Amino acid sequence: MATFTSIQSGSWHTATTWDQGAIPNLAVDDVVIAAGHTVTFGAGQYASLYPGRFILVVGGGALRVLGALDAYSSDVLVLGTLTTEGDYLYIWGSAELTVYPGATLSVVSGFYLASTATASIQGQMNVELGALADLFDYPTLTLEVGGTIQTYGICYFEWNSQVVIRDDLSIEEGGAVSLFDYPVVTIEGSGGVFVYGTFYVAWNARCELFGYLGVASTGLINVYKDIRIGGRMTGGGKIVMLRREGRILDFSENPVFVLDRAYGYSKALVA
Amino acid sequence: MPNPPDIPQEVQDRLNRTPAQRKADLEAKRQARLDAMTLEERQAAQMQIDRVNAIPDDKRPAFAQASGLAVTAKTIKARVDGGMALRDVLDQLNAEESAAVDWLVSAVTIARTP
Repeated sequence: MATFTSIQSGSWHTATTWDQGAIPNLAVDDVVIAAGHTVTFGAGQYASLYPGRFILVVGGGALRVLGALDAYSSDVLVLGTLTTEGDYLYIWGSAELTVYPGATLSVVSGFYLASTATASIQGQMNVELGALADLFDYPTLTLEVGGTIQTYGICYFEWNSQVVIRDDLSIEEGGAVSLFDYPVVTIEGSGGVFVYGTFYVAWNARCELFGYLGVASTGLINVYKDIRIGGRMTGGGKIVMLRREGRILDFSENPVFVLDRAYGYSKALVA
Repeated sequence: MPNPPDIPQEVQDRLNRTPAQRKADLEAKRQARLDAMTLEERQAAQMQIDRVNAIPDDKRPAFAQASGLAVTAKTIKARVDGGMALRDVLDQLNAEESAAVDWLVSAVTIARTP
């Protein structure tokens, strides 16, 4: 049982990368990627970080995950750069992923936050084109003040996930955030979601908006159920489609207006 | 572990705790999140936690794969139930991805055949 600290850049699976002169066993060892070092967890490799252990990427250090790494009821602390660019990074159990101010989590392949795990994004999180960030089974992701999330890829917030937005989340053109099956997304007063791509609110999803939600001309919000409004909706765009069962309600659930036929080209609008 | 100057004290304090203490810290924070849920949510989440906790350490990677597979399958099913054509999904795969999906379908069929 030891803390393995990188002494040079190189492969995770090479003993000379580490001060202990061996390869860390994540069942019993902790890992520190030191400043100035880039350590690559190789393609085709798999490791599981056991309960109570930690991986720390120090500021100026970088961990590239080309294989698959899972952290169960353990800590992944990022002060530098963590990149998933091969298989995936899987955070689960009571595990916590913390991306500190100035740090970056870059998802080029897959990122999973599952089974009541948490992620705190105080720095930058990027989901690149073609990448997937998937939250399911009661995880919590918090975008803290000072942090940002930018997605060019796909983010699924599903199966009872909770997402709290306290700063800027931008869904870039070509990117999508999809909410379905009982997630709750809360955009707090300090938070903002900027939609240049697509924002799906579907299948028993709830999105509470106390901050800002902006939709650019390239953006689309696809709502499968109700919109409840306690504040104002403004804009120069249009609602392209409202499903037959969809309604726009005030926050006390009173209909703001009712369309007698939301499909087709009915001109009838019942105030 | 030694205290490198570029690690904030908050992080250092966290790392200085023993693995057992860190595990207990994480469990306590999870319990606080569970306590904030409705009874129904808490029971469902607890069932999921109990299910995962019952899995031996060395089988957890397999469970993680199974969860990911199930979520992908459920997501695709929900989309197809919602009107998306499965053919459209399959047409998006490149040759390598398509071969992997074909392998999976075949392997699942074989694995489930008595």
